[in-house]
Amino acid sequence: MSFTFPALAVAGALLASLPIVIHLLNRRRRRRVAWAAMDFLLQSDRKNRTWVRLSEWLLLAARVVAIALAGLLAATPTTLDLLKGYFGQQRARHVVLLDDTCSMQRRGAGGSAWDEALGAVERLADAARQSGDELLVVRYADTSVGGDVATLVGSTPAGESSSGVATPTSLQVTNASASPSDGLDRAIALCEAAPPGVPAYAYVVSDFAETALRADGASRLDALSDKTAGLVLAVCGDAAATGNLAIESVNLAPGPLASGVETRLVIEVVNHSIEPAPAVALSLRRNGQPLTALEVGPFGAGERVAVETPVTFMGIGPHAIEATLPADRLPADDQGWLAVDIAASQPVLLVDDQPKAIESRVFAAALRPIGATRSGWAPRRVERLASDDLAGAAAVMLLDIERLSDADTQRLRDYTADGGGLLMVLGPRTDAGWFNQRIASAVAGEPPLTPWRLGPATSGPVAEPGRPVISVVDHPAVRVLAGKQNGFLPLVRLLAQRRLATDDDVAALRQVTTSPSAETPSYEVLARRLDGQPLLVESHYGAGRVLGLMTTAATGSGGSEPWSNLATLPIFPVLVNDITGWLAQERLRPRAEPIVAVASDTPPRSSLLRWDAADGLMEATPLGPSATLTPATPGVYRRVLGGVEEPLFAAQVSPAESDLRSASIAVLRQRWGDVARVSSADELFRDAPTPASRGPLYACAAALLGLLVGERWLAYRNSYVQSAARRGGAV
Amino acid sequence: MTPASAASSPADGGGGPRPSSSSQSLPEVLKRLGRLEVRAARVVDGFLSGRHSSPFLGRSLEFREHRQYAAGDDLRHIDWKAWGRQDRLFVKQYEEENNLRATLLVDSSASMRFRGEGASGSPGDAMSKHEYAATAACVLAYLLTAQHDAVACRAFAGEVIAETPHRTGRAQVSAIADLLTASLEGSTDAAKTDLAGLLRSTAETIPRRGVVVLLSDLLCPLEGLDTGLAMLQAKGADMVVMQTLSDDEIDFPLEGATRFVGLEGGAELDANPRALRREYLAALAQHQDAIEAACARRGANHQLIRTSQSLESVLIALLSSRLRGPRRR
Repeated sequence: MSFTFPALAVAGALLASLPIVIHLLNRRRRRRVAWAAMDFLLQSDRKNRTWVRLSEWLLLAARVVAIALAGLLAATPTTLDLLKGYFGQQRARHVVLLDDTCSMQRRGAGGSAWDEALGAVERLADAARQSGDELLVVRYADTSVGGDVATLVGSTPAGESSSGVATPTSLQVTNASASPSDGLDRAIALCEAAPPGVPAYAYVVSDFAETALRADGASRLDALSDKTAGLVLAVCGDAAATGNLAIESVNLAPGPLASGVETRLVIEVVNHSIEPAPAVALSLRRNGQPLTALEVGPFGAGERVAVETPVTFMGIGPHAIEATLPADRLPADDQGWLAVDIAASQPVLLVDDQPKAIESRVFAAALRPIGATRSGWAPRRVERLASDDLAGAAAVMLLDIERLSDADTQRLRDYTADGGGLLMVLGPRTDAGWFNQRIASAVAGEPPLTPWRLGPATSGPVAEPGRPVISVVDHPAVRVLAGKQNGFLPLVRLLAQRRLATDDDVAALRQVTTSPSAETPSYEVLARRLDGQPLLVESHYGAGRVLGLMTTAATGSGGSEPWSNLATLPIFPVLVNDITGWLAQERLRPRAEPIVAVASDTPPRSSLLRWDAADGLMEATPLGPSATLTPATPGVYRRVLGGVEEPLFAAQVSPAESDLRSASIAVLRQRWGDVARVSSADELFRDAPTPASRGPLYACAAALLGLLVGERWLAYRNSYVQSAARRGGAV
Repeated sequence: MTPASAASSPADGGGGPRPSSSSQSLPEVLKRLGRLEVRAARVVDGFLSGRHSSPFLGRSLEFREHRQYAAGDDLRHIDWKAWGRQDRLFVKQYEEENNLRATLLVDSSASMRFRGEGASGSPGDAMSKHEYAATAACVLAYLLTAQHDAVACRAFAGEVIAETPHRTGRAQVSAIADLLTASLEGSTDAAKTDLAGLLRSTAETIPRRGVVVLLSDLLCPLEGLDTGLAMLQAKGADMVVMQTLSDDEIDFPLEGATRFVGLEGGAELDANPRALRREYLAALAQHQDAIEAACARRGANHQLIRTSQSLESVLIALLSSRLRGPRRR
């Protein structure tokens, strides 16, 4: 709270201590009287002591508070006259930039930030109406998607379209995340377009989340200040109350995504608070039916906690998972969705050009064992890579092929760049020259598919009985072999393997990057021989993952003994499934989009379908030519653009909106105090020229009067002098 | 009855200016009181023949009453004139006149040092309770010795500090004055009045019935007062209780932030006197009621005296009331 006359507030605070000082001085000035009848005095004191002491303290408190209150009233809080001069002087245009993003839904002790904002706009509209001014409202999210200016008071300016909103209460807060830039531009334009001689005043009503006014927003705010006769920043919500748990993501662990096959659900919950938070119950619903709830947490300050639970989707088609946290400060982000389109199985292409196809048969057997067990994978051996096959493939495995045609190689690049997973089993048949030229080198301006090049074959290490010959890192693809005490590691035997080109087996390259355009492509060694020779390496290409296994599982050179005994090991099916799941994760990753306010051109015959547990996918919003492609509320959707259906996706609140850290009034005043008046929206505009708006002031004055009456009575009761008490005076 | 109403105020009962230690000196008081005749209201017995009536019929010249003659009566006492008028024999009876034995008990405890603020508001300007009581005791001694009565004095606090035996003569007045002057110096702050012990020892000490005058503020536990008075009553003593209090103690007119320091025991209390006044006066009234009740029960004459009252008027009122009082056979 600031004051018109802050010196008076300070003086009031200082004077308030005066009664205490006088009280302390009087204690030192007691007259000393020798007294004979002490017993009667002590008896009287025992009977009256409690009330006498209490009334003395009350009197002291009443005097302190009365002086402080008088000082406060004399200082006149600035909220009472913050808008002094804005109304009633001459006809003016008032432009309100209203933050309608999701974070404005934050709840506080006195209601939500949005309620505070609407209250402020309402009071402002009253003032504008009484002064004959015009009041225009521009919204963050609505403006970002091309929404109209809301004319609350007056007529819509020429050249502006208006939705004709008549009352502030018809304005709605959104779940979207939006930059204030568009709204600021619109507000600047409206202020500039004010008729000659009509001053323009601008008001930014927002929670001023830390992400809201970054560099471009700040410069626009300066510009808005230049274009107006007055700028007010009205802060909504309690900046100190930031505690908020949010579901950051609902996802699936690596693995097959098929009907009837168990997979694992991974839910990430973030504590957006500087304080620890206790564990909470996480409710789950699958296709509208409740699942067993999970406990998530407790949370440290700012901690992100992930919980996993098995889940099985029965039946082919769209499925939805809804995760819900107990409602907290921002209820909108307490809901998370997962949208999956379940297939009967996920195709895995096994490229094997050997006549006997031993390698592919081994891998196929590992991926789809014989019997009733459903793995979710559908391995299929191919010799060439057709586009149709690649379009539906969850992963591709090149099983010691000699080489691919250039066309197949290009399709493989495209597939991988698009998020496909590729395993290359490099054995005796692989042509190193072809590999290094077509795979490990840039082709037609495209970066190499692998950052490493293939070298010659080398014999395996001599194994000591009971001692492992390889070591692995902690990685989902090789988790079955992870751990120093892993009992399966000593079973692995290597007869021979391919090694990397000598120049590529360097530490500098062993850093994984997901960026295909990185200037220094790198790889990570997931498994290596004890002598350091890489056995399984991973790199990234585009959105896809590429694994290179430097040995075969079941074949050898010219029909001789296999290069390794991997295919004979009981863990081989697990290893292959893990590798396949890891490779396919990006391809099978459920789609999720944050709710953002972004306008885009929409082709004809476009619509947004919302999934409903009872009715399936229903049309939610027919999309106009410039409608936002983002849903308004969290849920599962399918977008139809130009009559073409897109994959299912889950829409949820942007993580940026969940972070409720906001700039305090003091910080805003420090930053913008030179160009704008800054105050709490709840206190702002209470100076509206209506009698009711002066209620707090009158209540304050009444409290002061009541206090003074009480002080007089207590002073009479506690007076030290009889004559003064008769006069009603006090000592 | 409240203390304030029990004791006449200086304005209405004193009939004179508010006394001070200078204006109420002993010679002046004695001069004013010297013409009065001190007569005990009750029958006492004594050694010396004097002007006090005795419960024992004797041969003095003062006729008391007639009685039917009975066999064995002294024929010299037959009233022959009455036989002549009524033809019946009556015996004349006479009162024997004895000397008075008075005992003055003067409280010299620390609480008696209290002096109010006086008319000028200055403590040094007023008489202390002890000064007032000592003056009154000396005046009484002077009057008693002037009519040849024997008087003794005992100064007490926690116990008897000093005393003089029963004697007649003007020298006894000086002895009592010296005793009372020295007694206040002999008392200590911690010494609290022990009424029971004092009255018991007094009852044991006086051999015959006489007058016992107690001069004290009676700001002490009253448990011993009733017992002591009962013992004196049993001894047949004529008891006068002159309770001496300051105006400030009776009216409690103090104002302003005050630290009260107890004269006996040294207890301290920081207080607003206005806040304490009502309960203080109530406690004092209750205390006074208890004193009145004890005195009435034991036949003692209780007088509440303000130190602001003129001593002359107080003694005149006391002696006058005793002369008007009933006489016991």
